Amino acid sequence: MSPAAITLELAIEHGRTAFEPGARLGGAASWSASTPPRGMELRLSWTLTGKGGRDLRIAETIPLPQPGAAERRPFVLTLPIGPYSFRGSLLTLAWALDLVAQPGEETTRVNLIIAPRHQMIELPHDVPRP
Amino acid sequence: MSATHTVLSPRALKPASGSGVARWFRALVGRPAPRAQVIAPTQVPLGAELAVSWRLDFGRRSITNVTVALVGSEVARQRLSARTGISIVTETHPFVTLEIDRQMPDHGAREAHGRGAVRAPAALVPTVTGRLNEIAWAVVIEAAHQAELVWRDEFPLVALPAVRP
Repeated sequence: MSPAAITLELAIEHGRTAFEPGARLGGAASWSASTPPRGMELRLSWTLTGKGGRDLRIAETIPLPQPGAAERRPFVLTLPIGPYSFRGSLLTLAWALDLVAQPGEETTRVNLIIAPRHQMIELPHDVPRP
Repeated sequence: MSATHTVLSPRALKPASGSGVARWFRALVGRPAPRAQVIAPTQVPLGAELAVSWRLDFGRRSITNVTVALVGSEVARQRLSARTGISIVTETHPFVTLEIDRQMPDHGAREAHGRGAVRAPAALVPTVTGRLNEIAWAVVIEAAHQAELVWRDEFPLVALPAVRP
């Protein structure tokens, strides 16, 4: 393993990836490197993607202080109540939880769905006028 | 975003057409645009009732029907570069249109007004605002002569996530 190489793993409790807004999400972040990374953090973010590009918003950053070279850290976070994951005719909103190592911004990602009934909302394509 | 929402009291919503300057100019050249007022809360949680009162002054224009609706739309903006410069193309797709009120003004009438209420489905998406893309909600007033749309304006409001027990 080169000095810069790091192995990252992000596991969510029960392997779940779909949640109610405001739900509790538990999991464990694991990493392994030859030397301790300078920093580790979890980033919860959403992207709103359309034809012309995407908007990215980091909803929460959770630092994992004083990381060792190889560790497994359990975590619990409360998900926000919105925005909801959806897919429409022009736009898609997707949530993700990233485990990010510094320096270098090495990342591993779990894609999440945050929406009522923990189901991606499919927006209607054809809307009848009243 | 918090899990509970404060219910805001109704107030006059700002029209998307905004500029009073254009309205002033039209009035100056003798063809004033219809003037609308929408009174409603500026924020509504999905699943809650939205009560709206409205008024449209259309002067001497011949208007046969006025519809007022709550409309949720996807809005995607695209920056296009050309030799002549950069332009922004906006594409809009309504995903829900919920009628609030409908009036057929009397012949010769110069205004119409009314009130109504609607409940936005809790299973839809709240307002989301990005630099390029957004989910936008608005009260929309359309005035038509027979089947021809004569005038339209939007009065944006914020749809909040549904209040959950």
